[in-house]
Amino acid sequence: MRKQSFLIAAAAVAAILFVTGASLLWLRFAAKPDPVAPTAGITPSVAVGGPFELVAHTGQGMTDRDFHGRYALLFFGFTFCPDLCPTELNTMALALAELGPLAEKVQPLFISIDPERDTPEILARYVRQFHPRLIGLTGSPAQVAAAARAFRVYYAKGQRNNDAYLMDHSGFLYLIGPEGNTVGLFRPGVAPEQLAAALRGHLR
Amino acid sequence: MRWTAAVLAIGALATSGPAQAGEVKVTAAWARATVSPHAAAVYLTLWNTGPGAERLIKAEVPIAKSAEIHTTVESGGVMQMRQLPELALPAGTTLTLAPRGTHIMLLALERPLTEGERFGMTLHFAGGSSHSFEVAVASAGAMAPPSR
Repeated sequence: MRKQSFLIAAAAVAAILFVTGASLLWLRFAAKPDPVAPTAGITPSVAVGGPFELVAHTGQGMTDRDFHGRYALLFFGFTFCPDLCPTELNTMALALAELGPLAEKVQPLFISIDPERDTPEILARYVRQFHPRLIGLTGSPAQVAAAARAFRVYYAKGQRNNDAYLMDHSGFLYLIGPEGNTVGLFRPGVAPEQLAAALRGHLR
Repeated sequence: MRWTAAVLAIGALATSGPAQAGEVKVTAAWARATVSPHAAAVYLTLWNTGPGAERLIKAEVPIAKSAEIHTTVESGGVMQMRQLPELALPAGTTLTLAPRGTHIMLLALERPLTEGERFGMTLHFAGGSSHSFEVAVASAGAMAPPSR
């Protein structure tokens, strides 16, 4: 009896901790960047990211372990996205260009959250328009869902037009450290110079 | 007959600078190259040089099945696109449509857009005026119109 109520109490405490953690994470993500420290980015307060198994634009299977030992700069999007995805990928490319030789330490990654339409072939044509080393990743809907869950990415089919649809999605840029943990988060709309300065801070 | 065509062609060239209809001018119309024909965004600058308010109510592009006014809204890092019924242009104002904001969304194009190409577009205003101009296609990640 005593043991049972202890278990219930422990479960309640665990639930409260989980909700608090999630709220803190949400606040952290939703908070506007500090204008005083424009280069800082956001340091996630709880673990963001994790294992994923996807298919690269080359058709080759890839997992998070393929990128361990180096930094990766990751954006989730979709190739039919006409306005924001090209803008963020351009920011990524400009920031890497600004880093000069230091950029070699960073692997740029693009994970599609629209696996139904983004085949490796479409991704191959897409990624080369932005950066010569950008790797595009897609997969089965289940594989993509698992990767998005690991990075706490929200995505859903949005407004429909003429059988076409757009995706609503989180637009953060993730800086993943050599051990696979997310060490920096950047809000959509981050300036290339801010991103480059923040990357420089981590890469040194 | 042939010289009439030539005169008309020269006339068309002469007016291919800022497109003008009523009191609204359109300049720097551009789009980004795409890999799929499903969607593209057109950016441009609208100048209402007249004394009265204007409203952009419709856009048409022959190479796309539809063209809609869209705007990007961001909330807590989630980005969504929403359709707008019209764009208001108060007298004497300039409105620039640029990446991360409002754009004319093209849907179901005949083909993907290629950097360097140009295509025609027509805007219709509430007062009944409309005008046609060309949209220049820049690179896929461009943030500004291509330089000529």
